[in-house]
This record gives sequence, C-alpha cells and structure tokens, in this order.
Amino acid sequence: MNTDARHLPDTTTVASAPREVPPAVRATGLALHGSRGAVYGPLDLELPSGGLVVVQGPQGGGRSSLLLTLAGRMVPDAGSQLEVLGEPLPRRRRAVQRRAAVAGFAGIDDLDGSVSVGATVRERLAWLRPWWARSPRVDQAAFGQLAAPVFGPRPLPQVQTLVWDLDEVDAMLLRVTLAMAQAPDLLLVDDVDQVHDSTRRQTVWSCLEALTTSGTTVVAAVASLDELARMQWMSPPTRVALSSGPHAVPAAA
Amino acid sequence: MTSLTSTGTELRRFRHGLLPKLAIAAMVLVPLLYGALYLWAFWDPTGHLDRLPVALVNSDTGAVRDGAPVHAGDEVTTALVDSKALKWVRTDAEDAASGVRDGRYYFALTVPADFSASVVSAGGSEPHPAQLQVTYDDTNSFLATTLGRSAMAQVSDAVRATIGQQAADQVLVGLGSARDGFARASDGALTLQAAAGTLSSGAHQVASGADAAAGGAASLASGSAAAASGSATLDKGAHALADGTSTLATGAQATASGARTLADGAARLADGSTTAATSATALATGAAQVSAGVTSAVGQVSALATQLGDLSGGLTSVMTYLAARAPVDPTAAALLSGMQKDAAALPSASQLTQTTEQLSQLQAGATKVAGGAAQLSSGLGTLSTSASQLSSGAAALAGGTAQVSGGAVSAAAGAHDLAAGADQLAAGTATLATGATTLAGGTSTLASGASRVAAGSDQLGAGSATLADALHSGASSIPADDPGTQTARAATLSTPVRLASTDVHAAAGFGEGFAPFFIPLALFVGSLITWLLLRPLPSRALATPASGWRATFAGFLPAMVIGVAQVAVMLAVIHWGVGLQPASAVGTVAFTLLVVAAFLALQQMLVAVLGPAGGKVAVLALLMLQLASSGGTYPVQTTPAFFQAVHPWLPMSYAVGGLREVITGGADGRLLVAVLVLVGVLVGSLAITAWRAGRMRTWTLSRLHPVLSI
Repeated sequence: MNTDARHLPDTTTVASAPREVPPAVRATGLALHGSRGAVYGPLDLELPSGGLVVVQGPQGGGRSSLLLTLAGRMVPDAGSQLEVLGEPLPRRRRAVQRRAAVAGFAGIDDLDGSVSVGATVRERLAWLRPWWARSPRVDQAAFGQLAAPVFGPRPLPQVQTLVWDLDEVDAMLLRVTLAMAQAPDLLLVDDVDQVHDSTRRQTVWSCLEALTTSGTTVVAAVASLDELARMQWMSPPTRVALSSGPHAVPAAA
Repeated sequence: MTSLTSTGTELRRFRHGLLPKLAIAAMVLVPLLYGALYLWAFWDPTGHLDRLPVALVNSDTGAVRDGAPVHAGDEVTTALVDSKALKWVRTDAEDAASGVRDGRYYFALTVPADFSASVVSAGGSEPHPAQLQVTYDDTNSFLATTLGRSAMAQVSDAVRATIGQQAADQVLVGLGSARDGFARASDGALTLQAAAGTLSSGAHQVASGADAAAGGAASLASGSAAAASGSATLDKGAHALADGTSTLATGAQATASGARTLADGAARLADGSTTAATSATALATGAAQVSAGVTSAVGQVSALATQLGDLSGGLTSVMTYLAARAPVDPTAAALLSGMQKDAAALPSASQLTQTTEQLSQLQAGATKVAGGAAQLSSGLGTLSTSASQLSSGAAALAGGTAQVSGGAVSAAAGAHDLAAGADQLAAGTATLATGATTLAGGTSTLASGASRVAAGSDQLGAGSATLADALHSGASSIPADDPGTQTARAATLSTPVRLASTDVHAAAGFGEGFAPFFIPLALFVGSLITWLLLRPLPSRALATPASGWRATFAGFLPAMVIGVAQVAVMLAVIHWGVGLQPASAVGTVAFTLLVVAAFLALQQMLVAVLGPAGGKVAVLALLMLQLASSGGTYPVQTTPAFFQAVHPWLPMSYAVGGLREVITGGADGRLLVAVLVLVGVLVGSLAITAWRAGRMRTWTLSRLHPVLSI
C-alpha cells in the first residue's frame, strides 16, 4: 500500500507554520473496510489548514469515501484516529458536518439538469436558513454575490439558465458554489475529473486554489496520475496519493 | 413562503420536457384511474339488470275456481314482463334450456303447468304451495346468478303477495260464514240455557215432592205395621172372647142349677130359723137363771175370803209361839214345821180376791148371755122371715140364670164369628204393611233420583250458559269484515311481514358504498407512484448540515403537492363525473387530504428506513395486506382471523372507516378515532423519517455504492 503522504509532512508543515493554525486534518491509521474488502488506508495524514490538498487515486481507490470521512459524512474503521478542524471524528460528526462542505460527489450533490440555476441556489439557501426564514427568489445579483468568489474572473451563468445548459466547468463551479453557501472551513471536492477537458480542469483548479486564499481548506480528489504535474499552481498543493486493492498502481511522482 | 415550506427543485425538475410533465400527470391521474374508473364501472350494477336477458317460460295450464277460470301463470308472467326488472324473454321450455346452456339467457324462470291449480288449492281440500322454477348456470356469470337470485327473491315476494292474497281471501269468506253460524249457535245455546232453567226448577219441585211422598210412605209403612200388630191382638182377643163366652154359657148353666139349689136351701133355712127362734127363747130364760145363781155364789165367796184372813192371823201367832219354844221343846218344833206347811197350803188373800173378781165377771157374762140369748131369739125370728124371702128370690134367680145361659151360648157363637173375621183382618193388615214398606223404599229412590235430576238440570243450565258465552266470544273472535276490510286482511295475511327498513345513513348505491374503499386504495397506489418518481429524502439536502426534519420536509412537501393534486382531481371527477354526493364535502376533502398525507408520510418513512428497494417492497406488501384487511368490501368480521387481527393495525382500515362517515354521513366517535390514528401515522412517520434522515447525513458504503437499486 502506497502512502506517500507520509513523506510530505515536511512540506505541509513548512507551508502552514507561519499561520500557526492547527492542521485541518490529522489522522493516524485512518482506514475503511467494507464488505468487499479494504476501501482505503490505513493512512497517516496531517493536512494543513487553508491550503489545497489534492487526493490522487485510481477509480475505486476510495477517494470519495476518504473525502466523505474527512467531511464527517462517513465513519472510518474503529481504531482509526482522526481529527478534523480540531474535532475528533467520528464522535463529533455533527460539528464537522456544519463546518465541512461537500461538492462534486456523484449520487450526493448531483444537480437536476432541468432546474434553473436560480432555483437550485434558492433551494440550497432555504435549507441552510432557519425554517421560519423567508426564502426569496434568487436573482442575478444575489447569485453573483454568492458565486463570484468561486467563479472568480469567469463570467457567471444567468440564474434562469437550466443546469443542463451549463458546461462542465460552470456545473462543477455551481456545485462548489452551493457547497460554499454554508461558509465551510473545509471544502471537499470529489472527482474533478468530471470536467474532462484538461484546459477547463485548469480553470476549476484555479478557482479552488483561489478559495484557499480566504482561509478555506480545500481537499479535492482527482484520478489522473499526473494532474499535479500537468496543471499550473500558484503554490504547489499538498498531495495525497491513494491506491488500494488488487489493481493498485503506484502513483508516478 | 418560509424556508421550511419551500418545495425546492424537486418538482421543478419536471417542468421541462414532455416526459417529465407526463410523469407528473401520471402521478396525479393514477388515483383517478384507480378510484374513479373503478367506481364508475361499478357505480350501479344492479340498476341495469333490465339489460340482463332472462328466459320466461309459462307452462301453466290454468285451473277453475268457483266456476271461474283462473290463469295465475298469465298474471305472473305479465306482471314480470311489465315490471321490467330484468330483460324477460317469453319463450318455450326447450329454447330456455338451450339458451341458459349456451349463455343467451343468464337464467330461466319457469311457471309450471300446475301453477294455477296450486294457487287454487289454497281454498280447497288439499292446499299446497305454488312453485316457480328457476334454472341458473354459473358458467354464464357467477355474479349474474347472484344478482338473479336477489332479483328472483323480489319476484317471489311480489308473486307471493298477489297469489297469497287471493288464497287468503277465499279463506276469509269461509270465516265470515263461520261467524254467522257461531252467532246462531250462540242464540240456540241461550234458548237451551233458559229451558234448562225451567227443567231445573221442575226437577227441584219433583225432588221435594218425592221427598214428602217418601216421608208419607214411611209413616204409612210404620202405621200399617202397627195396624198389623193390632189386628193380630184383635184376633187373639176375639178368640179369647169366643172361649170366654163359651165358658160363660157353661157357667150360666151351672149358676142356674145352683140358683135352684139355693132356692131349695133357703126354704129349708127359713124352716130351720123358725125352729131356732123358738129354741132361743128357751135359751134366754135359762140364761137369766144362770145369772141369778152366779150372783148368789159371789156373795158366799166374799164371806169366805174374810174368814180366811182371820184364820191366817191366828195361825201366825201360834207359829210365833211354837218358833219360840221350838229350840227347847222338840215337839213344838215338829208341830211348827207341820203348821208352816199347812199355812202355805191355805189360799192367799189375793187368790181369793181374784176368784171373787172372776165370779163377778162370770156374773156379768151370764147377764150378757142372757141378754144375747134374747137378742138371738129375736134375730132368729128375723132370719126366718128373711130366709123365706131368700128362697123366693133364689127361685127367681134360677129362672134368670137360665135365661143368661141361653144368651151366653148365642154370644159364644157370635164370638167365634168375630175371631174368624179378626183373622182375616190380621192377614190383610200384614199385607198392607209389606206394601207400605215397599212404597216407602220406592218413594225414597224416587226422591234421590229426582234430586239428581235437579242437580243435573242445574249443570245443564250452567253448561248451556258456558256454551252460549263461548259461542258468543267465538263469534266475536272471527272478524266481521266488510268487503274492503276483507281485502285488506287478505293482503295482510298473504304478506304478514313487510320489511320497512330505515337507513340511518344510506349510501346512494353500490358505487357510493364502495367509494370509501376505492378512494384510500387509489391514494395508496398514487402515493406509491409518487415515491417512484420523487425522492423521499433528497440527497442534496442530506449533504447539507440541515436537520433531519428539514430533509424530511424537503422530501415530503413536494410529494404532498402531488397528493393534493391527486385528491383534487380524483374527488372532482368522482363528484362531477361519476356522481358521488358526499354527505360532507368539506369533511370528505379534508379527510382525503389527511389520508393522502398519512400514506405519503408512511411510505416515505418505509423507504427512508428500509432503503429504496426494501421500502418499495414493503409498500407493495402493505398495499396487499391493507387491500384484504381494511374491510372495504366485505365486513372484516367475515374475513379469516388473520385479517381481523391485522385490521386495527393498518391505517387504511381507518381511512376506509372515516371516509364512510364523511361520505355517507353520521360522523361519530369512529371518525374522530380515524382522524387521530391518521394524524398519528402522519406525525409518527415524519418523526421516524426525520430521525432516519439525521442518521443518513452519514453515508455508508452500501448507500454510496448500492448493491441493488430499483
């Protein structure tokens, strides 16, 4: 089992040291086994706060499960020691669920293609508000206020645009926007590969890297082995490589 | 709209494109198809029985009653065809049989050949019921047979009423005649009673007369007996008399002879008396001489007595001297003793006295004898005279006595005659006594017999009174009907029980009765369809930190919108299209909404707890279970024990029960219970779903990568 993360603490420690913030994630012997065998781990992790972490692993390598575990939305094996945002997991799941948001997970935050962008955003905002609060229609301005930090320089889609009319990048960024609506300290983005085109994926990475500047820790998962090398980064992200199961392929450095 | 009630994007995703819109339409219309179509089809199956072809065969040959022909079969078939209850087809037996077999007729009704005869028999001597024959064939349609049976029950009732009325009418006419007869019999009994009274009083008189006669006869008997004994005595007396008179005759003869003897004696007496009287005179002379001698003897004796006293004194003085010399001179002594003896032998003075006296008495006596002899002499003279008279009298007596003797002989003869007559009398009176005794016994028997006759007459009177009363009450028990009343009574007798049912809450028809079952059933299926297309718990909601309640409502509210649409469409069509008229429109709509909310929440809960696959299986299983046990068709008490046991635990049971009350009317405690149960199902299901949603914010591998997905 390849656990390259063990050799990276130096980098992360160096990167996060000036801020003097506890690591976003600290894990020892983090592992998950299902009925069909090992899903991921065991892992020892110490991910810095406020940075971008790229989790790299093959299809079926347990990336989604690891990210959900870190988001407090999946329970690892008993014996795993995990602390996220200073909260021990899985005991303090509820607190971590409030502070950690998820985006891009297939089967979890899929968008309905026939619904407009505005309605999708309005729905998410309604869920996040107190139940008695009014939930007004989301107009372009309100959407812009919410989406601009995510989309960055990229032009925002119109709120009346239907989701199936969005391109892959906008759809991905819309899911990130929805996740960011709960103002998380930790953002977990799965399957950046759903933006198939590498040039467009560069846009997504840039946007994600931009989110970290506001202090949000972003953990994103990607399948491509050479993603770190092929993309341009403002600062090199922390890399966690996963491989498990009989088809495990060592990640190329 | 608050954040809670926002339905989010769950329904918006059906807005674009034809298929999603069709899906929404399908969700909304499925309950309508299920409920309204079914209701429509079954709305009034019994209302169109007049389209059911049924063979009608009239084989009745008719009959005759009171000289008039009767064709009851024609009446019945005409009435049936006119009723148009079924599509009656008049045909013959052959066609009917083949038609029932090949399905041209659902069943066949045959009026048998003896139908009229049987009808007429009600008033005859061998009454027997008339029969109608029905031939069914379940191959044609079991339900048609069932419907036919109920239709035939009505036909049978109608025919029974008509035919029965005729039969009862006949019986009632006979009863009227019986009443008249009873009245006449009652009058006759009264007459009989009066006659019995008269008879009774006569019998009583006879009885008392017989009693008196019996008494008289008894007296006669005892009198006759006395007479008989008296006659016997008389007889004996007569015999004694005869004997006595015979003796008298004999005695009289003896007397006559004695009287003659007497007369002879008296004559001799008179002679003797004359002689005696002469002698007595001599006697009196001698007696007077005796008396004078006695008187001289008395004087001599008295002088002797005085001399004797002087002698006695001289003796005494001699003896005193001798006594004084006696001791000295023995001679003196011896002289003395001798002298004493001589003294003693001398008579004493007293003796002398006594003798004197006796001599006196003798003197007196002699005097008397002298007097007596004188008297005797005179008396004998008298006697002599008298004896002469006696002699003549005795002679007369003898003559008279002889006459007596002759009369006594005649008397003896008469006494004998008397004795013979007395014998005859005694015999006759004995016969009389016997006859009188027999008479007394006979009259006693007559008296007791007359008493029994009197008692019997009394009983006859009482019995006649009872008979009269009973006949009267019997006559009054038989109704005195005028023709109109008689017709009404015949109708009542022929149909004594008429069912006057009161529907507390009546369902308008078959369909309305089934609506409370079909509506919840359709809504349950509608909910199932709804949850096939909508997500019970939107995963995007679970991805947010929103509470389980929020995620639950995010799933429930869009489905409830569909549910409201389902209820609106279905109830609108059922009301305006099919024609259901619920007792309470508001209640029906509100309760139906509660039903759909409860069903949606229940199914959402099942899917949330058991997962998409297990939940749907559970919902289908629950549907089948509720279908069988909700009691919507047949009362649940008629179902097996298992369904009765699960009945109170399934929400559709309460949905059916509650809808019955709001549709048919008569809301009571059961409606309240239904509402409470359904609200409980709704709230409980939502609570469980919310709890489950809170747990579902943490994914599992199986949820992330389901092994099986439906």
